[in-house]
Amino acid sequence: MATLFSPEEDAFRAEVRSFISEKLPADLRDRMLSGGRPTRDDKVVWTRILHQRGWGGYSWPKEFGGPGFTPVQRYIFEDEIWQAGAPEVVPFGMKMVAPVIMKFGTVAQKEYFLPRITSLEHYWCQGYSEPGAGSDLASLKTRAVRDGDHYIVNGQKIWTTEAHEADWIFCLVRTSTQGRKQDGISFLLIDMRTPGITVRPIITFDGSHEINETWFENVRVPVENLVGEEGQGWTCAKYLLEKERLNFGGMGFCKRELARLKRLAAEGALAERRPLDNPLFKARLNALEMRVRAADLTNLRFLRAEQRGEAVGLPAPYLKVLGSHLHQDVLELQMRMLGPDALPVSLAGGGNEPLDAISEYANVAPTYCNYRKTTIYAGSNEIQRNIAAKSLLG
Amino acid sequence: MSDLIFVPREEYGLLADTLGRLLPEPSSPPKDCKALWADLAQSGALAVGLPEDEGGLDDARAVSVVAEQLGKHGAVSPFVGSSAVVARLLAKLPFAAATADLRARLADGSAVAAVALLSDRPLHVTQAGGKFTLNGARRLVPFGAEADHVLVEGVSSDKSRLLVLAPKSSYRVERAVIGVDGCPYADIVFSDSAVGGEHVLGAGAEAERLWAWCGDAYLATLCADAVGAMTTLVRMTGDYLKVRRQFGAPLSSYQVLQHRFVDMDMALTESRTVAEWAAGLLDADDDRERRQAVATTHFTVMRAATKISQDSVQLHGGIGMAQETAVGRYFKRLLALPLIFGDEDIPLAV
Ligand SMILES: Cc1cc2nc3c(=O)[nH]c(=O)nc-3n(C[C@H](O)[C@H](O)[C@H](O)COP(=O)(O)OP(=O)(O)OC[C@H]3O[C@@H](n4cnc5c(N)ncnc54)[C@H](O)[C@@H]3O)c2cc1C
Repeated sequence: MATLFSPEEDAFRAEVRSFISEKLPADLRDRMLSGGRPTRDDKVVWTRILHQRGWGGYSWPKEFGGPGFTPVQRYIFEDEIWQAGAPEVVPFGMKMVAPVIMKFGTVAQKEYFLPRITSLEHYWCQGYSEPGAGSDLASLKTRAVRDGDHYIVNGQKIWTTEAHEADWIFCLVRTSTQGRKQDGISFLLIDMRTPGITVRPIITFDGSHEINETWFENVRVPVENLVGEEGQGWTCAKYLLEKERLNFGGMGFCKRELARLKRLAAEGALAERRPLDNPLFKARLNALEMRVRAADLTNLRFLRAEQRGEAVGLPAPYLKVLGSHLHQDVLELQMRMLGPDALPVSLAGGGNEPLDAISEYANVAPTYCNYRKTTIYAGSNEIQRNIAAKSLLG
Repeated sequence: MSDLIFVPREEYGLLADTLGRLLPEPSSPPKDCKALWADLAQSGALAVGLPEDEGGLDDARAVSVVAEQLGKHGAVSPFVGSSAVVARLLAKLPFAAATADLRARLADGSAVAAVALLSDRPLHVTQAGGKFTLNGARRLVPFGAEADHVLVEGVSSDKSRLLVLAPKSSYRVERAVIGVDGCPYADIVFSDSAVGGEHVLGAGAEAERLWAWCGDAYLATLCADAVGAMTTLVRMTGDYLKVRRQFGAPLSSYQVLQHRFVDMDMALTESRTVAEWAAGLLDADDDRERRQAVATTHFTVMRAATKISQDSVQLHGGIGMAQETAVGRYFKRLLALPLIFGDEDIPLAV
């Protein structure tokens, strides 16, 4: 009989699992498994725990201080992390800017930034999108003008996730308006404490503050914070976007939330309604589980190919599209199953009690709302399909 | 009435115009509930479902015209429970004359009635002499904390049903919350609450029939509200596709978005059809016919609401996620339907 994982990989999974069960703080785990979203502190605490074990940059090769996991080990690692209820590692540092620095950065940049990413001494955010440049990213306008050994940056980024909590931002800026739009873009690393940066909150319609407007007014950035050459920013960006989308496929989130759904169905007041005995609901649940399985295994198959050094299919766009829809659909089914129990989201006349002060269910509808973002960000699903179509049909 | 479904009466246009002027713009933040209620009362909108000699049009279709405007403008109010269900129920009863006073107050907005839709907790009614005693609870009553009367269905010791319009003095508000849809809800508790026989609107099989009508009237009116909210989302999304440019062209020039938008409008069109049909049959003598129309409306509107709300956010991109644009508010308003009455699986399972 053939198996999905080798005995060595199974052993690796067991090792990761026992590490997590030993180290993950129980209160954090419980919050995550009941639909909570991790705070900045939660992420710092957990990343430092991983860091001590040498897993702070778990997707990195050994030469940059990572554990040198194979692609399949990385998959197993994330699968375990999600399902155990550990918070996700801040992707902007470890998974996005770090690979760009590794590939295009100077020795000094590698030595300075990479260790501070694995320890989460630097919390990163991503400054790509602008009001006029979303899907059409290359039309971005934030200007960086050379002035001696500095760039002077002026302009506005928008939808910047966690800019209000970040120490550093990596930005795409325009250094030239000549020639092709893409060729006038550069990749800059900017310290968020630099004078001239203003961060304004954007509240999303679920009521949470994750994203921001980030304004730059005569912000002086040392030239040594340019990654790659001037005008090479688009190459860096494309390299990074590819990583960002690949990073998305993980079905760990879906498995975790499906497990929550089944737990809720079997507990408390909801159990009396016996949702799992309802054949229509059961059919929906089964369909979702099978879709998650198919997408999850597709991810694994892509990674097997990567491990063999081969390219199969269109991993980045497919995993982004499949994964984002599944995230949304699992949360939607949770909400529909709860029905009226998912209705209350705050106390009347209420202050800002945490949602779980109302009930364990109070985060379900807001999270369903919040996750509408997943088909929009990291390259919208329409753009992913455009990319795939171009590749398939020319 | 010889009125034909899909042939609007002249009054509907006037009513919609009046409300359109009265209510805040769909994109502006919702008006304070109390002020809005006073405006609605003044315009006569709270009375439209009542008999003509009480200032109304005696017409469930007119009620859904009002509900649609409320949905379209994102107005939060107890209209559905108070005007579309309780006031009209009172007018239907054989002893309607006895409740004329209360109907007048519901129509002029000085009293508000709510409906305890969820009957999943026990509510016992015992009778001794002319008095009825209530024990139990009802949860998530829309506007339960604000209402002066709550319509509840209880059960007596011999398992027969009783329909009671419980006055505020008979229950205690245990918890008041805000729903994801922006509407207030309250859990209420009855403990040895005595009410006079005049508050009991029906008993036995008759109570069951009336209660079924109330559920259908609520659901059908909520669907009309949803049609209004969907109208706003479709309008906003269409407008945005025309003005937002990416890659040097308006979003409306991209075929995949054109098709998505057409599907949204098509779903809205069908929803309007069935919502008008259900409103037209709401007062039908044949309960089965009514039930079928309302179930079809529930199913159709539910599917359309999911599609339209999700696609509206998607086609707006990042700006669709921001609280400052109204898209998210209508997205959340449309969650009232699946969360209170269940999603399309409910009519499917019948
Ligand atoms: C919660 C959230 C977090 C985010 N975090 C970050 C972040 O940290 N850093 C950052 O830089 N950005 C971030 N973004 C921005 C995100 O990357 C953009 O929202 C996204 O690229 C879409 O751009 P837009 O919002 O301008 O929408 P638009 O580009 O205006 O798109 C609107 C709609 O039109 C569609 N569309 C556009 N062009 C085409 C076309 N040619 N063909 C077919 N359909 C098309 C889109 O798919 C979308 O449905 C975030 C966004 C959200 C919602």
